[in-house]
Amino acid sequence: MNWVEIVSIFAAAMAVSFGAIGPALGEGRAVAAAMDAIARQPEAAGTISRTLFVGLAMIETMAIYCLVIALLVLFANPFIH
Amino acid sequence: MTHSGLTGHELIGYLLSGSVWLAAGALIGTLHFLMLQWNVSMVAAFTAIGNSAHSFRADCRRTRRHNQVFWRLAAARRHRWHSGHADRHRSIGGATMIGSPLATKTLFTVGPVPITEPVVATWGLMAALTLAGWLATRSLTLRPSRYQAVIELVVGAIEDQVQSTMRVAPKVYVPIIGTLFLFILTANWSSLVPGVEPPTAHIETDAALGLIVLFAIVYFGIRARGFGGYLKTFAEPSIVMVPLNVVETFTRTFSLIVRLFGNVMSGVFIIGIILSLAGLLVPIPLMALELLVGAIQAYIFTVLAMVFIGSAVSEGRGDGGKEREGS
Repeated sequence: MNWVEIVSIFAAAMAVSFGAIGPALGEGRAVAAAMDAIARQPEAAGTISRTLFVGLAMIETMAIYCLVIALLVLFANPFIH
Repeated sequence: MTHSGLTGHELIGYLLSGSVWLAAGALIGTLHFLMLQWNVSMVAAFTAIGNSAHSFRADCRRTRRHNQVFWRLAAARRHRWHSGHADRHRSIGGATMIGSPLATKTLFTVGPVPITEPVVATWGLMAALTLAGWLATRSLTLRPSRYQAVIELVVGAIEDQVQSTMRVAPKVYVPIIGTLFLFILTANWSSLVPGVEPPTAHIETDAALGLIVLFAIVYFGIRARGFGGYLKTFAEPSIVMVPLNVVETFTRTFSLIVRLFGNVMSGVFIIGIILSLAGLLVPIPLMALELLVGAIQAYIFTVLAMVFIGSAVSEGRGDGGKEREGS
């Protein structure tokens, strides 16, 4: 197998795996904070959970960026062929 | 049930100006063609660079061919299940890209212009939305029918959302924001129709939507503050921030594009992979998840568009801009 392909596959795997760590930790913190807030103020649960969903999607976008990079490396790699 | 402050004429006005924005979007949507060409030529240029950079690839041709056979087998297996995505083999600059989420499928050509699948889906969605809007406003009554009540609920909800996010009079902004939201929502959910791939899963569509938002930011900014006033907002905290603000205008649009593209495309892609691995009913929970993601992403896109437009319209009115009131 070509070196470029091997490196590309490893790069894609590393982009997704390491790129998932940060957003995972961030989402955990966000959900924990939201749970705390809802427990303190149950009447604000609607606003909090709506903001939480938007925030989670924004955090998740960081992981999605890594996925896009991985797919670029796998499927639109400029150095293969 | 009905929104109190919304009369029939306002509803007609909203829908009319919404369709004007949609027509503007259609014009910008013709950038699809250009961007497709650009995309293809970019891939070709990259492959040319790659070719010249790797003259040793002749040594590895045998192994690569073996590799391609493997990918073809996997792709054939996937295509058996997912006939909607069939014929994704394509040769771009001699490179065989199989099942690539970045490639688009050309359905037919009008003269020299290739019409791709997302373009057809986009125009179909636009026609469906326009038809629904026309049907909704054809016979408006003071005592609304069930259909009119639903439409009024949707328009009222968008109006409330614009009001609470932008903190300005929502009347001017509801058409473009509502059109964006409804279009992205229906586009993301159009994967429910068998054989239709969401047009937002291709970066050209998202780029067109992001360009609409960029133009809207500039347009509303100039409209609210005048040309010089809008230019002055780039030097808002101090003159040092000008390059940063200029760059930010484009990067936030770019991240808007990539966010929508990545989320929708990853859903389509993951469902495709699951389909190739497992049978018919397995990806259904993932498709349900995709519905949720599609709705949330449509919401986020429009909320961010609102925030950007709102900051262009009323920037500096909150804390720092006591010396000057825009409009």
